[in-house]
Amino acid sequence: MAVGRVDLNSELPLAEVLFDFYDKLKTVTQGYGSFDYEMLDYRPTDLVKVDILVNGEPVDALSQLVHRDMSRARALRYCERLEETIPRQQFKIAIQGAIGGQIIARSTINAYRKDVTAKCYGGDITRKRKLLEKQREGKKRMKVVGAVEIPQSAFMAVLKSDPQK
Amino acid sequence: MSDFSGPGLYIHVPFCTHICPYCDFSVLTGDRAWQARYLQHLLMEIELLTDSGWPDRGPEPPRQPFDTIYFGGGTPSMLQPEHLESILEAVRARLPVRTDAWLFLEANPEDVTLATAATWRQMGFRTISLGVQSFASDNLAFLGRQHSPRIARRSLEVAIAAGFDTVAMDLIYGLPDQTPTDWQRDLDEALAAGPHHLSCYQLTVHPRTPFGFRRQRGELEEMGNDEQSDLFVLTHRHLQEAGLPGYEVSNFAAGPEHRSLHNQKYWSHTPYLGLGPSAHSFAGHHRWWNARKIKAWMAPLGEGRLPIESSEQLGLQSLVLESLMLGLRTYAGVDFDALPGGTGQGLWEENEAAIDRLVESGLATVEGSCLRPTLRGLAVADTLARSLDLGSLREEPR
Repeated sequence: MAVGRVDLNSELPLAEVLFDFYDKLKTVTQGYGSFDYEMLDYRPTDLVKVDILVNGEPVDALSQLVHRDMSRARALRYCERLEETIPRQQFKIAIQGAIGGQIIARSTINAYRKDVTAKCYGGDITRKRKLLEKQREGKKRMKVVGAVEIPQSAFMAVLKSDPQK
Repeated sequence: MSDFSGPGLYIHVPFCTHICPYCDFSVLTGDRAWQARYLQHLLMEIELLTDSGWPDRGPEPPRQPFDTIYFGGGTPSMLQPEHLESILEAVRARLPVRTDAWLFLEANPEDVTLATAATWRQMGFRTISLGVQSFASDNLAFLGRQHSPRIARRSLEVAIAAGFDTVAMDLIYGLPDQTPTDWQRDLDEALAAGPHHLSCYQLTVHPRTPFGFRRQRGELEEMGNDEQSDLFVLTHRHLQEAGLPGYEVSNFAAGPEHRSLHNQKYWSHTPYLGLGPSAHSFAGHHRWWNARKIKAWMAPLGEGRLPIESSEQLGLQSLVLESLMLGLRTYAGVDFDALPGGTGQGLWEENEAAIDRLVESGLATVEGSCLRPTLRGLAVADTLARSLDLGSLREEPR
């Protein structure tokens, strides 16, 4: 191996590298890092299914099999990410991480209490209607869980790993 | 009071002595020469209308005569009285206008004197709307207003003494760092002045205004949502208790006779014709609007053409969305039996679950065929309007 180069060999669960491991590697190595892998074998491990509930309704797309040791941290991170990315709505939203029936993490998005614009006279009406039409179109692209509108960006934000500090 | 359900006429007077940093209306600081040119072109615009009073386009024009004439701006009180008189004469000569049409004038407090108020009364103006905005000196300075609290109070006294049927006042709240106590103090000062009508507008920072640029640079922070809501609720409750109950998101009146006959036309799809730069018009399912800038408004008039910049034909879905959007901003709410195209009953049935959710959440109540917002619901009226599914209505411009 040449001077200044490092070769790291690890045995990792494949699930830990599937999402954005490569992007993160490139980031921390300023683009110089490279990565290759080969399947070793299947090994027994202590996995649990972490479910994410929004106002009591499970969001199937966010359910994950996670090592038990990491389950609470992962659930908490998902709850926090959803709190940051789901827009406030006209009712309070409870976001929970659960294993089976046990809640292991929670965050809350408070309802917004005002959205109405101050003026609506002749010159305002078309603009206001077009904004509502755009919001209605945007709503169609959202996943609705119970009555909660979740934008696609919220799902992507949840599945991304933590940014490097 | 007689019925004022006919069409309304709006005349936009774009002049101001000073442009406020929050204003995104079509305004300019035009001198007397500009005002004379404006008058000349406005009279041309009136002359170009058809005998019915409506542009020669689209569906059958409204049959009823105009029963409100509203001078808005800008600062209509800046116009010379003889200019206002010329406009009224031309309107009455050219258009079908009821002899008892209700005349409205927006005025800045510094323009209201015993002489001007008397002149306006003699011309037939029945409602005067004063752009006070605040009774606190520091707020007035922040908002770029040109009058003092003393002048504001004096203008109310003069207007009331002059005998206008309705003396109305505009106020702005939600200024940065404004507390509920601060705002209530302003409201109490306003109430002490004895107006018949108040319009209380939350400060809105528009892009491409001085406030908008300050916000972009991080020099102006808007009030948070929860604080805005607190002031909104305070406004409605305090004015209700003081004898000026609300009838719309931002409007409060000392009795039904003082509610704005003209503005209610906007919220009920009653036809209205707008003249002057940026003015909007609506009739049936057709909306059109004039060029915004004064030169762009003048140019086609000089060539014998109406200064219409653009228009839209509203399909059924858009009309119904507007009815919901506008109706849910009012205390009276939306009467589903009166929705366009007889769509109300079907829409109600399709949205029964959504309506039940609104009621259970305390945002609306149901009274017969009417869906009425509660005060909490009024604060989120935009959300209420878009929460109903209109998918079954086909969007076909007629």
